[in-house]
Amino acid sequence: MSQSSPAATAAAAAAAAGLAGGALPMGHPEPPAHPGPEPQPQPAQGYGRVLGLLGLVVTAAGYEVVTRAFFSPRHVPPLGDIVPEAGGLLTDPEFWTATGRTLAVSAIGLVIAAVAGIAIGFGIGSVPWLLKVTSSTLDFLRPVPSIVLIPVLVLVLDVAEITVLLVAVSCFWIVLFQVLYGLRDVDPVAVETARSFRLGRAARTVHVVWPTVLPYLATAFRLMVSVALALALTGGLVMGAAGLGELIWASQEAGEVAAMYALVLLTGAIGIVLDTLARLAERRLLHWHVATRRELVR
Amino acid sequence: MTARRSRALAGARGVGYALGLPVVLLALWWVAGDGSANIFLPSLREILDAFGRVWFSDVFVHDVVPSLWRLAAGYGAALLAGVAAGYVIGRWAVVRALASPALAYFRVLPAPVIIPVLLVAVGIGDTTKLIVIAFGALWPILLNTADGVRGVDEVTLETAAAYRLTGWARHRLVLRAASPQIFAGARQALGVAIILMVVSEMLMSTDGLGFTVIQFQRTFAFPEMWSGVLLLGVLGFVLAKLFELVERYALRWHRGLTGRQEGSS
Amino acid sequence: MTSGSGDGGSVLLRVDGVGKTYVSRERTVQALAGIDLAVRDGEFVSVVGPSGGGKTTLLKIVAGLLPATAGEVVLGGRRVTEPPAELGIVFQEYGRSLFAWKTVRENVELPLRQRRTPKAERRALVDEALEAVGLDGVGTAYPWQLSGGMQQRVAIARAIAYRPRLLLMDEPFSAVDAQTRGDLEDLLARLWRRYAITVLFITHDIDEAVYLSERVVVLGSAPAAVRAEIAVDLPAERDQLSTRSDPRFAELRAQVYAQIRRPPADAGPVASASIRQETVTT
Repeated sequence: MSQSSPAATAAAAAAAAGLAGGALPMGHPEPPAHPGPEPQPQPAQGYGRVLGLLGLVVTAAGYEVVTRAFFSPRHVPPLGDIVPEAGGLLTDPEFWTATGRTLAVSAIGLVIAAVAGIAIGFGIGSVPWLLKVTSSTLDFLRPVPSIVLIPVLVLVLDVAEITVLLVAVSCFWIVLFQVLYGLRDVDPVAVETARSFRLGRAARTVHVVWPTVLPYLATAFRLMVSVALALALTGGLVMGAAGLGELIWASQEAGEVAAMYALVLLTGAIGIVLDTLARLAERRLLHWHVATRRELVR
Repeated sequence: MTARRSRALAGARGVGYALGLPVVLLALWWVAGDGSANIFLPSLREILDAFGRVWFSDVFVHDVVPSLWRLAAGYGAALLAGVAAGYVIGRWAVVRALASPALAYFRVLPAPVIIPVLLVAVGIGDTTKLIVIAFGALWPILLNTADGVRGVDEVTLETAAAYRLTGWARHRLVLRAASPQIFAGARQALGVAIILMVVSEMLMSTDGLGFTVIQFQRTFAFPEMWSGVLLLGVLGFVLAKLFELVERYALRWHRGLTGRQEGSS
Repeated sequence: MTSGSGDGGSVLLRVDGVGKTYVSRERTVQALAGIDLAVRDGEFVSVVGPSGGGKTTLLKIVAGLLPATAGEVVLGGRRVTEPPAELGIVFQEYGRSLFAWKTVRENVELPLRQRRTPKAERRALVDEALEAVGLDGVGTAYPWQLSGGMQQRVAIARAIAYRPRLLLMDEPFSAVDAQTRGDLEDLLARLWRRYAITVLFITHDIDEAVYLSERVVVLGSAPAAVRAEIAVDLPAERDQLSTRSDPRFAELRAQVYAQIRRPPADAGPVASASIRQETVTT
């Protein structure tokens, strides 16, 4: 147990870092044992925080020195150029419109994925033969990168719709598989107990199955937030769908190098904010869950 | 009925379950698409025709091989750098504390946005795409390795110390103990690498799979385009399966370990 | 005294006023307070004390895994600052102490490989050790494929194959069932005699300590200090049934128990010194 649970949460963490649809393929032997919140990248305090700050300063200073020494500002601008640009962007309504669009696209795609993934996941996962019949197909489709759909979809949809769809497809796989893992994790003893108390199918779903799947869904949510943002940006970069991605690409093409770097810097900041919010939400949702409790005690 | 016969029967049933739905879906596509007048959605027959025509030609050398080469080189570089850096970060708390703000940033930075950055910084070319792939794949590997190395069991380490395992033996031991998590990160990174390969080729390339597919679409060669989509899908699937094979072999001890615990608890 | 190795042996391990104080920002915890202990060559000594009472800290200091904050540990004439070469160790947590990705054989072999023992000799040592613990034939299995008791045998085989002068054992049998525990105790007693190793055995189980050892060292808790040393004058040949029903066994057990239960207040140095004098003659 002690071996498998950190691995599972790490897989979850890794999925958040990337934008791949595939967290754990179906055939993989170990479903996440504790899908609860992974340990935060350690709440730095005191000494650690000082070192962290020092690391940040060193990184920034190193970047500054290297860029000024080896690169022309037309390729890699120093922070001295980027930071004021970023400051300017923060008061620029165009930036906020683009951010809003990107977030909206992410959110819509995410909601579609969540609804479809939960419905289909519960549909397939609670019927054993259906799971058997579909598992090979799901296993095949899952590692297919969703962006291969771009050239196909460009023919029939507009770029904003495609971007939503890209987000939805990628997130769908995450939800679907987390639901399937969750359903597999439902404790047979708990189900038997519920049955012995004459709980019907609906009551069992509410009291036994759903609480088991919920932590898996919470993890799925956290993973989806990162993936959704990444694909919303990809849509902007590749197809020019309105939003941050498009803004970044446009400033690159216009040769506004410092502005582009500033946009990328801010994109990372948005990523941090979303990730933090997702973790908070997960914690709120799972305040009763063992993994969270243990963390709080410590 | 003998045990062997019943096992063979179960095996056959398993194959049936695995192949049933895909066969049905493909057959449906074949039949329904055959009379299709929709030029956007050619029939499966046409797509398969195009598949043989396009990809089993010199396109393979000009486009598929460079793509795969960049993928392999970028992913390989990420693997080496990620495990090495992750090991150092996971092993020494001071390094970890120093690196943590930068890590926190790169952990959440969506990988595709580095494409325009590198385009400006390094320019257009093979190197750029290679770096894009390597950079994107680096973080999942690095972060997981660091986590895994940091989480190596204390008793394991003390046993190693008591038996005077030092130097390389100790490093190898720690990496091996962390390997389940390293593999989890590498699996993630593979997906990221494939996506970045395609996206980088769509955005800035004169060859490669992603570029070719976009070219077909722009020239309205729809069966060819579909065949490219199919090839990308198959590629993603095959690479994921290959990875799974390697992982299963390398982590066979871990599977047994967790499997046993699952069974006994 | 009781075993064949005799009581005239020279001192192999000397623990001299070892103390350990953990200092953190919130508080300072003294885990060990001036532990004095001497183990002669070939002797079997148990250390008993309440759970969480610093026994494991002591073992880790002896093993060179943890620096002491006071005093020193001398093994075979050399001061211990890092894990010494002539040391074998068996932890309670066999599941974590055995390397799960290595087979039984590879686990036993690894320390020898690190020590650059030639291949032929290595093979012979591993074969012998596995045979000695009754595990010949399972060398190609992975540890997790074995039962808990068998896994702990693997850990013991690893220590034996290493041919240590001192074998440290940290509650090695606490995680196995009672039946297996008895078997492992007897196995250890046989191995001790066969290889004439010196054993420092840490346990919280009084029966086990009395049953196995020639001498029992009782630690008090918070901070741990030596309360008493009790010589076990039972016949050298011991047996789960007859030894444990021996009235002397019951007496010794009661004696150890009384020392553990003794409130710290009257744990005067005089009392413990008087008991120690009758046993330690170094």
